[in-house]
Amino acid sequence: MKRNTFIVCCIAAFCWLLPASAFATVGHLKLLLDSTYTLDESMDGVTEDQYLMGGGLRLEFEIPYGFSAGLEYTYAAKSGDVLQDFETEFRMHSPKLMLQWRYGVREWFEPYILALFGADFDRLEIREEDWGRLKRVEANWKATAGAYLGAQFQLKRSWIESWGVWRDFSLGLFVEVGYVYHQPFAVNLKAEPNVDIDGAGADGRKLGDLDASGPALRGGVLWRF
Amino acid sequence: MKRLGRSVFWLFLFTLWTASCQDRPGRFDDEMFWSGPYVLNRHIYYLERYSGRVVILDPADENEPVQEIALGGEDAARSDSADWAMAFVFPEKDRIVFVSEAARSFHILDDENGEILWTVPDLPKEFSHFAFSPDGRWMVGFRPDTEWDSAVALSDGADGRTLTAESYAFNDDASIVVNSHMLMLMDLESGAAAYPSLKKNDVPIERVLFTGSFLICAEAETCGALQAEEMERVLILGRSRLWILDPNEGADARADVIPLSMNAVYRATGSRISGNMDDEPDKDGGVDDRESLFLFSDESADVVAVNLLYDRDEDRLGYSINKLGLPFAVRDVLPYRDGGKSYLLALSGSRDAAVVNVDSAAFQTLSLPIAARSIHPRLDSEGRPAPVLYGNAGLVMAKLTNLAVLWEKNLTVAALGFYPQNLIFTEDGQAVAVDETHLAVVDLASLEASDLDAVNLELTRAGEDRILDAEKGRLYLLGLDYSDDEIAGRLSMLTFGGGGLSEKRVDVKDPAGSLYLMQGAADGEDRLVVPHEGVEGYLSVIRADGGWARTYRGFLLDRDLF
Repeated sequence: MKRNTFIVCCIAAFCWLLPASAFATVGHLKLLLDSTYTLDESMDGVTEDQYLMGGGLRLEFEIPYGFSAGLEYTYAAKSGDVLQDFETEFRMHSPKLMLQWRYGVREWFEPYILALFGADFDRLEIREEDWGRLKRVEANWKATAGAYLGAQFQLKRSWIESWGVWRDFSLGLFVEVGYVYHQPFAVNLKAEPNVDIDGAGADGRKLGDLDASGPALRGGVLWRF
Repeated sequence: MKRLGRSVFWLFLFTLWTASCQDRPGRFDDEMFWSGPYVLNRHIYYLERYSGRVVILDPADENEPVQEIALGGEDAARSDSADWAMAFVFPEKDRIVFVSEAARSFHILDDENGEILWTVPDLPKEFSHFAFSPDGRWMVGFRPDTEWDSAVALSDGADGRTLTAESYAFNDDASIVVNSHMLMLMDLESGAAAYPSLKKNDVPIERVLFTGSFLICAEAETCGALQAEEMERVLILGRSRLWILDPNEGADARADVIPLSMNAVYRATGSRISGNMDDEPDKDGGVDDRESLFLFSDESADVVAVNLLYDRDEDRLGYSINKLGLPFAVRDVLPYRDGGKSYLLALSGSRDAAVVNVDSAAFQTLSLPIAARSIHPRLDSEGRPAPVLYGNAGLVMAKLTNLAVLWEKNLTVAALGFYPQNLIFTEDGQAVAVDETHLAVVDLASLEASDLDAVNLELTRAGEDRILDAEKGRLYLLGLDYSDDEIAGRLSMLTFGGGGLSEKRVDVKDPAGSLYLMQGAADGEDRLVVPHEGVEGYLSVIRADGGWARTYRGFLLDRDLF
């Protein structure tokens, strides 16, 4: 199931990026920092506070009518402890497709709206503190989507031209705020039969759903090419 | 437009900042302090000592095996200290009591349905030890004296919090003894609790026993089963003192005080009254006006016979004692009748034994072929008493007829050839001896030890824990193998019967080392409980015939944690 999900994601990314790059005249590579304030209390058990920090990379191509399309990958991780007996470690890999519409107020200042949709690969480890025994690893593919308002600030074209680099080259900064939805995933303390007889069963317990959705603040540097 | 965007941005930052100042919900930081497992006949219990939550695991329920109750009520606040101090299980494993130190209350759960049966509030004292009558009707709570208790009571007494002490007195001219002489006397049929106090309380309570029900008549001459009155007494043993009280008198019970005159802690011969073997309730005149109880101690060479004699003048049960002096401290005794006279067989723990005439106190010391420290009473195939005397080296069967004279001719010896850690008797007349590398089954009728070393106990895995079900003739052994990174366990389920032995083995991963038996399942099949390492709640339940098993994990975390 996980492998199938991964393959579907790869095909979707390819299908998305191929026509975008065909129309493309200019591309952007963005290095971003991502901070999400998780609204649901469930993340408190993992992160000890309500922030989930991460970083990532975005590749986007400008296509007609002010749109851009591309791919984004972000990674977030946080560790903590819960019930004084367990250490937790949460990691989230998120490959996403993006679609952006920008409005050029100035050549160096472009506000935009951004939509992202893709998948999260969530991994949660729970360890017993005293013994270090790994008690549970959860790994799940779940859906994610986000909507942002943002703005990017680029060097003035006159400055760039004075450097003698190619026409579309630029450097800049960007910042965006919005809301990201992460599909919650169930944390199960699954059990396996510890008794070696035919038909032995096992009964684990569900500890709850982990939900990392919430408002997000992102920013970073961009390289236009 | 710009102003609006700027406002949204700063509002967003402000929201993040204020949110970051919030602490996470306290439930994520709650320390868990689970006591358990308490394994009863039908359910397995865990107590969380800060909150009074009890998790109940029911292996018979395949859909919802885990239930939870809050002893202090759903709205009860979690305390800052582990106020839910402890739990104790009734001997029949049909009820469990949870104790709240803060509320000074007992909460008694009925294992039949896992629900609260009674709550006993406002306990006047802290009772730490409990004794149960053989018929399961009475429970007596008390608090024995220890050095720690004395220290606590003395220091607490200065600030008015005398939790354990009711009186202060000198004992042995050596130390100050403090001891509560208030008892908790609970009728387990109604849940009513009474708190009688003992007189002459300058000696600490050491032990509480029950006589069990016995029949006694006001007049020996006209006595029969119809005239006999059924009685029961609670025996409270202190150092050199005995209190006897009638549990039916409740809070008004006034204990008779009997000085034992010896500075020793006495034991009685089990919890049941022993002695007057003339009682034959089925025959006319088969019950008389007297019962006897024998008290003995590792610390004293005297056995004290306590005679319970009906006092016709007072119209109540009276008591008298007589001492039986012996040349050694006694480890176990057996009263018996022979030729119309009362005798007492006494063991020293070594090869020394003695036969004492209870009425005259004359005794005869004798030497056993092997050292024996305990007596297992039994009847032979013709219904005559044929007790087994046993120790580390083996077993001796004794015929009691004319024992003192015939002695060795009346003894049959079975040497085991190894020193058993456990020697246990089944109800169908076998003895099972086990150490880490041997297992032997002895047929008591013939005293022949079967050569059962062929039952390979997997030497490196044997001996971690064992349970004998004497009624069903089953022995369960849990052995561990630490040779690999992961602890491997092997559960051997041995069944005795028909002179043979059968074994079923089951491998169990990662056992914690302890083993429990559940004997009350609706389908009649017993179940074994093997806890695994882990604070999250992790154990396996295995049907005793090896035909069913289930592993449960995480049930102590099951409360919508995330």
